[in-house]
Amino acid sequence: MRLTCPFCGSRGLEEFTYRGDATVRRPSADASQEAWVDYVYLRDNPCGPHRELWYHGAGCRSWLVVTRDTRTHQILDVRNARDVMLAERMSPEGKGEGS
Amino acid sequence: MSAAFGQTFRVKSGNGVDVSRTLHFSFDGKDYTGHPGDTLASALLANGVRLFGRSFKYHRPRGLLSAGPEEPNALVELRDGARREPNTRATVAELFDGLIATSQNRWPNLSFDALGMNGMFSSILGAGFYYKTFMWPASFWERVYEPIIRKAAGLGRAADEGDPDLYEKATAFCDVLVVGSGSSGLAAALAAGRAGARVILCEQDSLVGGRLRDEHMALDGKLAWQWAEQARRELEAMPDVSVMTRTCVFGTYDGGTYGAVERVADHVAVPRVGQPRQCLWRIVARECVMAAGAIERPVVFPHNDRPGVMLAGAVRTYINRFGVAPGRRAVVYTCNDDGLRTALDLYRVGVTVAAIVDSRPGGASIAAEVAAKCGARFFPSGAIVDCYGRTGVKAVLVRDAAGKAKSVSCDLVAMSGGWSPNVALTTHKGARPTWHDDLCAFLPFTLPPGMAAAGAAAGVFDTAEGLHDGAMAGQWAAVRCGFEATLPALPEAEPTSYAIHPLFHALKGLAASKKAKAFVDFQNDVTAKDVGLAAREGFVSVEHLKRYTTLGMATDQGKTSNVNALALLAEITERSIPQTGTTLIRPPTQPVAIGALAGAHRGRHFKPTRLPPTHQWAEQQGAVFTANGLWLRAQWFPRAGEKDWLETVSREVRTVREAVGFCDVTTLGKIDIQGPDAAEFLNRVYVNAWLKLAVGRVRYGLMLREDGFAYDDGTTACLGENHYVMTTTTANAGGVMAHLEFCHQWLWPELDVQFISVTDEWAQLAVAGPKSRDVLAKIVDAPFDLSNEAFPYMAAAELTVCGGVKARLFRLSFSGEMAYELAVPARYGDALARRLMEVGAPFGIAPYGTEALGVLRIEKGHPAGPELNGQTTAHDLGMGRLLSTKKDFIGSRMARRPALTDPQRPTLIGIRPVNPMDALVAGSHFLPQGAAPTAETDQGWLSSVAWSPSVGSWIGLGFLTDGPARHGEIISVHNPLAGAVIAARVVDPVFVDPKGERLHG
Amino acid sequence: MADLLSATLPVVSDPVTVGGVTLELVPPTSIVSLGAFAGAGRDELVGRVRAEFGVDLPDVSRAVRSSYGNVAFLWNGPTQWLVVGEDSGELFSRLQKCCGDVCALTSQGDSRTILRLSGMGAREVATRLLPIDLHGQVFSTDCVASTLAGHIPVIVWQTAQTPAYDFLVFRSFASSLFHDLSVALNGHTFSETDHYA
Ligand SMILES: [Zn+2]
Repeated sequence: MRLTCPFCGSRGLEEFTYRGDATVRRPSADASQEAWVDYVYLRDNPCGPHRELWYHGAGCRSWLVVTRDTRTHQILDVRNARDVMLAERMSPEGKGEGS
Repeated sequence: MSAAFGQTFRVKSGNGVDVSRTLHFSFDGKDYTGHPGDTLASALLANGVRLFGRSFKYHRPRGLLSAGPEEPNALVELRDGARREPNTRATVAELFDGLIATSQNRWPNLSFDALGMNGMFSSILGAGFYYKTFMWPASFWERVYEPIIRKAAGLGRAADEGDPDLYEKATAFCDVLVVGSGSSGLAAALAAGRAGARVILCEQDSLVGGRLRDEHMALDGKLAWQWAEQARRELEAMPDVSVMTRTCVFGTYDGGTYGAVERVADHVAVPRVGQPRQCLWRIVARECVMAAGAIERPVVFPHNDRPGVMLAGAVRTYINRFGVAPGRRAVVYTCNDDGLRTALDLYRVGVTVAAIVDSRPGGASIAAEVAAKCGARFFPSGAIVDCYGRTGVKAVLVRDAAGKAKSVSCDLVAMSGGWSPNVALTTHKGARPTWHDDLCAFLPFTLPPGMAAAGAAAGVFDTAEGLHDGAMAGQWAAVRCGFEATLPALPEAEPTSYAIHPLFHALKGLAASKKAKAFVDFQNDVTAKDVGLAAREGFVSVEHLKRYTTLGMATDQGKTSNVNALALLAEITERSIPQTGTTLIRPPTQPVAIGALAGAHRGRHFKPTRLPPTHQWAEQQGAVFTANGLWLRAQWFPRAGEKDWLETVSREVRTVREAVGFCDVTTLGKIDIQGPDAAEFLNRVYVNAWLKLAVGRVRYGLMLREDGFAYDDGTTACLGENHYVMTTTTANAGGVMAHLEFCHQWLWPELDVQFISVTDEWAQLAVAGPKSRDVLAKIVDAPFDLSNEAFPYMAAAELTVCGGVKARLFRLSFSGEMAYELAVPARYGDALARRLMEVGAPFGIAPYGTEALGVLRIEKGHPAGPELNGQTTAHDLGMGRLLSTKKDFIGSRMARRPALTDPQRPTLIGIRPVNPMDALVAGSHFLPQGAAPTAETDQGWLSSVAWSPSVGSWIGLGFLTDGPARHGEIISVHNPLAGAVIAARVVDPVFVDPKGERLHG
Repeated sequence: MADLLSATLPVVSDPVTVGGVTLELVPPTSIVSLGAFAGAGRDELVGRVRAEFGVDLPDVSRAVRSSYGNVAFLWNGPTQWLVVGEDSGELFSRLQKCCGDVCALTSQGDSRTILRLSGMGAREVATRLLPIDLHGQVFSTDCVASTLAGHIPVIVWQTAQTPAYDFLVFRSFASSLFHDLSVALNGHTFSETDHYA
């Protein structure tokens, strides 16, 4: 499998490490225990396009939001995670999005 | 029968063989000659050798079936000694001078094999034999069956020694990958190459051309193989085209990635010094033209496995490419026009064509004309219903259209059941091919992204059409890569016919005993009877059939057998072939040596080695080294007269406790953290408070994972406003860096902070012991003040040492003694160690290794890797009070879960055996004294142990239920592996200087 | 002072030349990492560096060389650069004066060892270890890539058209990388053609 890092270009899988679901959001410190359990342990296993976090550790050390089709391993989109999060914070409905 | 009487079957100069040079080789101890360009198979055939090996299960004599990588029968051992290589296909083993080959799976020799009688027991070794046998008493299997099967079945012997050769792995990139260099592949490469695309053309053979070399055929009025060579020369002259021969593309992977193995030096006796024997290529291609050709199918008839029964196309290969006639008197058995070419080629080189048996009715093809031309008896609507000759064909029994059987004497049977496109590479990502009745073949349907199939691999069997198909595919591949491409001018080819009528077997109306000798899978000895039996027993799914009979599961992966088996199963179950299904083909398409997959990464170089800055010095000191992750660290420094490691380590520990020692601790992860929000960032990743750490001070920090369990610990020093240097454990250095980047980039992108690793920048040496300050006084430059008042415990400073070398000094202690960590730029680390030895000599200085480091920290009760094992909490580690309640930090919420703070959780304690000499073993379990060792009575575990010279006893650290409240209690330390129980007292984990007075001295 | 510590090289092997390709250790240089602070603004940093060194910090993965001072700026991540110059203490203090208040400066001259592979055919050898496309159309002089050489993390910088590649590798890995590169160097063959046409 190959991922196209927005900074480094197309690179082989061995340069990246997988973290997991990029749709969950860290709850606030005073959020309920249920919200925290959900964030730490519970994950959906979608069939089809899925947004997930990858780390270009052997490259530019950027965290990336990768949209991957879990059925075909087709990579539909790769973005710099920091930009994704900053944009989310800037948007009016951004805060508190996700779970 | 195969005495070396010379190459009496060499009839002419084949287009791929250089008869002007002679090579010498041996097979089963006999000497033979051949020529450059020969394979082991063609050379032996030229010498009249028919018998190549014994079959896997029944030990039946076997000869060559094919002339290519699909060969199921002719598996041999190549070379000897450490380079002995079993199960090599003689059909792809290139001949070299001095080659030693041995047949396998026979005892005592090839023509008389004592286990050939397995054939007599074929009724009990049939389909499902292994599974059924398992149902017998299990003890029978181990004592009786397995030893017999091990001796009887099985293939060659692997070398006993390590592989002496080198292997390599590399990555290649191109616009267009072309797989196969037959007419279609060459045309595709020419079209894409001329358009300017970067092209890689992979050919598994040593020569390009594919069937252009195998057929007697003209292109543009020249011999076809000459056009192939001309195309190769043109391609090689293009700067961005690479023609890789001896390179098999074995797998299709995600993202336009292909696996290929290049046999760099398999065709020579020994690679030249430094040369890899094979290279594993990962080819990244934007487009791929898959033109891997097709594989001919045998026909299933009784005794179709006799040596001398060959595929018709392979016979033509031996004649045209190698100049070898595989027999003197041949019978051609075909269901298609392509098979008839064989009769013409045989006739042309003077081989008697005794008969043409065509399964099609007379007048339905050109067979009658061909028969007349060759002077062969013609059997329209005919079938071969038996075959005679134990170690080589002597005659066949032909049934004519009227149903009358006639014996025809011959020493060669050339059979063709039609051609199966080589679709393997199109199926590796899960797509199944579809059946086409008109071609009697599976053709690719859904292709992996970026791949096109062309030529015979796509069911285009005519040469002119194949050239055009390949050229189109190459052109479009180049266009999709953004090149302007046109169709190249293509050579004129004579029209060829591939009219086919389905023929998979000739068993209609034959007795069951005949079916038991009609082979479907030659390599795994699966017969038509086995397929029938499996179907009757209910294994009607092709996947079940495969597993039950082992059909298609040998090293050839059923290349010549899968379609015939499927057709037989379809017939028995009265379904069509598409209804019956097809099995998916997985990579690799051909066997790949483990050595090639490992590449250069084996033995000592399996992983890279990281050397600390003092490595050269430590080597000169005679240090014993240990691997610590990738790092190679000094474990201890033995001295003359010390009887074992324990004496050495104990001496090193005493030196630190009584005088001064030093140790290279460079391997701890060091991360430089700067930025206006650096303190806030630390405050969020560590459990304790960080906002008020003053410049010039160091603090211990504990990190949790988000689930509340302990992750890593270390110290972080504040070197300036907004400037910190963090240390991590050696094991987690990389992980912590990724964690910090994650927190910064994803969780808190608003924080203004920068990180960079400085692990390698600084050689960091711990100088520990009551005399450490005296030693450092000889190193630091004036006017730096080392006094306890000016530079107390947990102080940090930037300074110069040894007359101007920039340095960092931290007053830290892992040992519990007064201690410092001194960092200098890595290039000076080696010299610093030497200097410490020099200036420390009057104080009794000695280096210590990781083993003494471990003893010192256990004596001091400092948790390390065995305690931070991913299952312990801050509370378990006795650090519950560090957890700030005034801030959010990673793990803060989940660490407050009741179960994680339950006092009943096993908590850090020290352990002292009642008898100080009782050796403790890490991993032992804690039980109340006298309790039976069960899961219910288990109260914790022993994590770290050491012989403590300071205490004069074995000591340990561990986790015990309600531990801190039980100091003084005697418990059982149970090691179930050794069946040992030791009585031990629970004590405070700090064995040495519990008040910490030495730290602050 | 007389008792100054002497420096030790990270690789003890002598340069190796096979088939016109040379593998050697580059003498220690000054390397300083430069990490932009978000607050100060990247433009401010770029402007300061332009004023002092006359070049724009690259925003893609490549190196730019300062026309004076013999300094190169290598892209090393979206907010980080490596400044490579002659081995002296001056580079750090010059950078500190130039932009020390708007970025993080960290010495990296001892972290990173530079191994150089040069000569006709150097690309063929580098290809054996690097999983990136080194074709001249894609990777040319002053292109830079952070990647893996086999299992070892490296920053690769093509420093000359010939070609020459500088491998910036963590010092502790330098001996291992030197070994791996020399194995690739010795195994490197120009394709032999032995057909009998
Ligand atoms: Zn990247």
